[in-house]
Amino acid sequence: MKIAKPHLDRRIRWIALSATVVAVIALGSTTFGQMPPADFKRGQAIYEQSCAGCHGEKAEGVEGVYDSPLTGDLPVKELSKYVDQTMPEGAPEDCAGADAELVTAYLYQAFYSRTAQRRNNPPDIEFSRRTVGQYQNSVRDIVKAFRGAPRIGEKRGFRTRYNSTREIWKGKPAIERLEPTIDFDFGDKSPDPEKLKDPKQFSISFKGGLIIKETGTYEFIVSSKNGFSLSCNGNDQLIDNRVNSTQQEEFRAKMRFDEGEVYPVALTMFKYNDETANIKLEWVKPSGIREVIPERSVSSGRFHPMVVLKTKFPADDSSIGYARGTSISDQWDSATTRAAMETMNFFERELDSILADKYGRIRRRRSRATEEERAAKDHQRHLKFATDFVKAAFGRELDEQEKQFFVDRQFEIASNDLAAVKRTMLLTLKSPQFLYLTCFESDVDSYDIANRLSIVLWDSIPDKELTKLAAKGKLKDREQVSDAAWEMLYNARTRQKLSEFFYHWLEMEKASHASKDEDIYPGFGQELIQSLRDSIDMSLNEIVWSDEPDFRKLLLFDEIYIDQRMAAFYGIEKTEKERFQKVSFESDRRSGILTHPYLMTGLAYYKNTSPIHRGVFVAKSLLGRSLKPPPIDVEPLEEEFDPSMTTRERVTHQTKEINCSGCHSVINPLGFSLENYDAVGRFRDTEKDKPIDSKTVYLSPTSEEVVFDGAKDLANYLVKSPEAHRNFIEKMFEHFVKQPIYAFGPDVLDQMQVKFEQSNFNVQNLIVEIAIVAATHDANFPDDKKNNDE
Amino acid sequence: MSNSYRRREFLSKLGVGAAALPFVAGLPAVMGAQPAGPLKRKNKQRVIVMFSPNGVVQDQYWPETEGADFELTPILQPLADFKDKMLLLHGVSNKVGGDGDSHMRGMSCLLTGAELLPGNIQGGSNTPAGWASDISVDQELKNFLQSQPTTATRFGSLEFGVEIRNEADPWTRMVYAGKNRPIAPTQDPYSMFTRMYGRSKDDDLLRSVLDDVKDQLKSVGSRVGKEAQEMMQEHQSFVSEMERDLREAAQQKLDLPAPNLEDGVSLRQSNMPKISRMQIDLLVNGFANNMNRVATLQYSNSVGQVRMKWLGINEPHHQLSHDPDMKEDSQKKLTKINQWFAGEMHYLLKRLAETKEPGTDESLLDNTLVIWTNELGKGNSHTLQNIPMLLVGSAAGFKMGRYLKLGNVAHNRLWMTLTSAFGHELESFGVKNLCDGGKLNLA
Repeated sequence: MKIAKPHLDRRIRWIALSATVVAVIALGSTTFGQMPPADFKRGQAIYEQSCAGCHGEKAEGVEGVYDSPLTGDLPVKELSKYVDQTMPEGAPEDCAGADAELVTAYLYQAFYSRTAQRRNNPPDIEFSRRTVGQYQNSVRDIVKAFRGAPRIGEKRGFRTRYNSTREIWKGKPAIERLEPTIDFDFGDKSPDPEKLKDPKQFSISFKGGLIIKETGTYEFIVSSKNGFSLSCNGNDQLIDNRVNSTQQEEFRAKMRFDEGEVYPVALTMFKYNDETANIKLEWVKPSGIREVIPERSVSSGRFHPMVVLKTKFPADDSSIGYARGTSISDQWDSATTRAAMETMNFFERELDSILADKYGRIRRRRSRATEEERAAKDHQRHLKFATDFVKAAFGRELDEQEKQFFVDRQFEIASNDLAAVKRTMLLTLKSPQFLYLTCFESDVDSYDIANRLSIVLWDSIPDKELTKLAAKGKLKDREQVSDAAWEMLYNARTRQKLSEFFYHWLEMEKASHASKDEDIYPGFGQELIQSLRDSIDMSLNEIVWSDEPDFRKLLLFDEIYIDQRMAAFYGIEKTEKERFQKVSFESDRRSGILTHPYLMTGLAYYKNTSPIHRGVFVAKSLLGRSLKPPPIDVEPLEEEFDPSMTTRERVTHQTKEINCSGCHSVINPLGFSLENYDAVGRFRDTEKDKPIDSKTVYLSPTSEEVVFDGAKDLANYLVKSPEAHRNFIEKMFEHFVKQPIYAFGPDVLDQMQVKFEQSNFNVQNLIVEIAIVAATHDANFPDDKKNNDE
Repeated sequence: MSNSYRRREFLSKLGVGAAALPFVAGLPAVMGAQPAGPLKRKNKQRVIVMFSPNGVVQDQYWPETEGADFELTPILQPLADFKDKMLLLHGVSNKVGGDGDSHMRGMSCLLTGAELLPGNIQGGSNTPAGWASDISVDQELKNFLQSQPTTATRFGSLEFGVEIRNEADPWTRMVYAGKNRPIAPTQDPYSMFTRMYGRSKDDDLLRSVLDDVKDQLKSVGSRVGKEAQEMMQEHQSFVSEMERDLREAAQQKLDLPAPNLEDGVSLRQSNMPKISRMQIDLLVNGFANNMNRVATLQYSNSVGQVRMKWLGINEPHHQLSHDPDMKEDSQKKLTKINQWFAGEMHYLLKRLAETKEPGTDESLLDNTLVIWTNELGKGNSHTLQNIPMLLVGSAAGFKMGRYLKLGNVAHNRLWMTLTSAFGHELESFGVKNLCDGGKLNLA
């Protein structure tokens, strides 16, 4: 403690006085950091008299005198000090004391701050293509336009049929029931000596839908000494091992699945004269976990195959914090082409079944129709399919010209109906109307609004209901659009998009790859990480999809979901049978996501905590502060540097340099306030036999100094902080719209902030509000005038 | 155990690697350096095994007269053009025995001459069984040809299928890479196209819509702002590039350009005639471009249940084949079915005959032997005796234009004769004691 303590103690005492004042200011202001108008005018007058000569009327800089615009990151207080002592150049005494403070406050609000910059130089809405995720979702939803969305239902487990002969489909089944998992070893016995009398021969069929929560490649592992075949997602012969003369007992096959989808799976086994019988179905998930496919991942419903795109797309540009489709490349063009071919091939495989289900079967037996009549009907079915395909992809009715170009013309060129349908599909998926997110006509119509709503809320194409609303002209004013958006909110795609927001916002990918020292954290591993991830997801979803989806609860919730693994590792008592149980977990020391072990684990090193990672996370992700990257590349000090030092002492020591302290004066205190949670998120009082010091002082952008003693104080500050609210709104907007919020008008953020507060920080409200703004910002609604008059 | 393996082992004991093989001078013919016996071997030799199921109608298939003056029976009639290139062998029997019913053994022992392994697959009679226990003769030949630089090709062998039941079992597989290693034939001509030419048939379809894609980009691009227009122009340039790439890929150097397959022919039974022709076109093109020297062409499978509605036959093939000899209507239909297969074989032979060996005056057929066989001798008796063995083409150096009755010889000996004709002498093939008597004299 030699290094920092005297300095820190002084500061804490000094700041304690102002802390309550800050809290009052923060609570009272909705539009954050605004000066009283009179002060603003006085500041402006000083600026124009003393500063504009060198810095320009709008702080844009003056060539040859002071070129750069006056923009930056310094808090007002720091900036003010600088102005007081150095400006105007050569005569700092001309602008000092109260004048310096006024002019700095004016400068800050009018030009200098990030908010001011964006208000003064509003970005444009950028011409964009579908992002990779939006392309993939859209293609899957085209399939659903023909197949309907899968109904997962409540029942879990495999629909299982036992037959008393080796031929599973012959005769009536002896037993039909749901089996939670497939993991059986019957030995030389019958599975049911009463109903399956002959232990030498029987057969079993398991069917269900795999509920996928994680995108990636899955490996199936079937273990059996008997004949079996595994089919999945339209692949009849994923593993065909009905002939078992090989003595092999473990069989593997890989498949790619997408999060949020359900894929049909069927496993059929039979015993015939084999000595014993056994069957087990496991998978290795993308995260590397091998397990018997659990009951919760299997719906007992019936499902159609879903298209799975294997094409690897080049990553979207995420350089400004969210993925956006503002550039194209050769690789992107060929990826969209390959994906279009994959989609076409998928539909080609499924076409007979889709045509029959959607446009009627063509009976061949006992049909009185002539061959010509049947052929004509079949031709009509193909035409309808092709037209519906284009309609689904474009989310609109086609005009005559479009129908002629995308459908009729292709049937004229192609040698047969199937070839024509394939041409239409390729052409549609390669067309600008599908690839780009813009309306190519001058007026925004209802279909454009529908397409925007669906891209914002679902990252996909409109569904049938939404297209129908557009067709009926029911998206003609803000209220109707709002109704539609509310309707769309409670959809699996919106849930998924919001989950993706949380994943991104809370930097969850950090924890998903975390590995920890086995000596210090015995028992910590990939399985526990998965449990923690499920746990935090459950809390987040519970809050945002409840009747009171209050943003503040995310930071304040005091009960968490635990499973057996978490219970054992964190020493919590689990009493209920369900996989997850909600319990109060050290509620006097913990607060919402901030202290959830999943986050704390991700924001930490292999052995130790990382106050810097935690501080940066709170500053950037929760408070929206812009931090510049470190001026020099710095490796964190090794623990061996001084084994007696605590983590806090080591970090303080390393960042005390003047080059570092600018940002670290913001970062460190935020990070130190979380020092009570070790590298796997367990609470601790001491480190190296010294008590944990989680008391800190945080300097806000308005130079207010706030004292935190631990995570609860930090959380309580965040829920009241207008900075944090604005940041949440802006990040949410960017994630959903994939455009900067200021591109939609200078006041959009301010207005949303007011509404957010008025709605008790209702997250659902916020999402709907974002969708309405994005969908209607340039629409000419007939009632616009009336609204403006009011 | 595979014989080629044994051979390699022998050579390695001599201290000679497989790569050095052609340089090993003075070794006896068994090493493949010189032709054996009185057969005159061709420089280039290829073989095709064509399969159709469920036996044949005896008096509609087998001629009465032996020798060169044999009559063309109704089933053979479609092949009249090639009568002088035919060698029809009566009296070749599948004597393998062991586990499995006649259809299973008929199929999985047909080209292997080896017993089925014990297993869990039960047929209509006899004991259950598994996969064949050894390599099939086509693969044996492929391995032999691939082991020498002068006869090695890109694929060695290609396995074509037409309308095969979509399950893997001893009834559907006749080609084996070895014990327990069945090779699935490719039923989809478009997949085979991709494999052979390294580009998808759908690439041609894609190429043909790219003009339309560019038109769209142009017309839509004129309706957007400047920034967006630039992106659209960039996009158009990518499309043009892709067009060029596809065109170049389609013009790859081939001795004979890839066949122009019709788009959009789906894999359904009513398309069997179309798919058969597509597969044959691919097969012949593969030979012309020296992609492989060995091919199989499997129609349906043992117990195949194809309904040949395009012939006016609504009953499934296997079901018909169970009908007694007296049931005339069924026998007529069965004859018609086999005439259809003969017609496909005729198309294959014709294509081989009219396609020149690149750079020579010879036709592909001059250097190819086509063997049309079956898993049964006769459908309703399920006999494995007198399996149809029709050989056409000059590649083996056999004396053609004849109908021979061989009595009742094990088919293992025919396969030994075949490999020998390709310069690959084997002491036995498949079940060892069925090889007693050695090669057949077909010279």
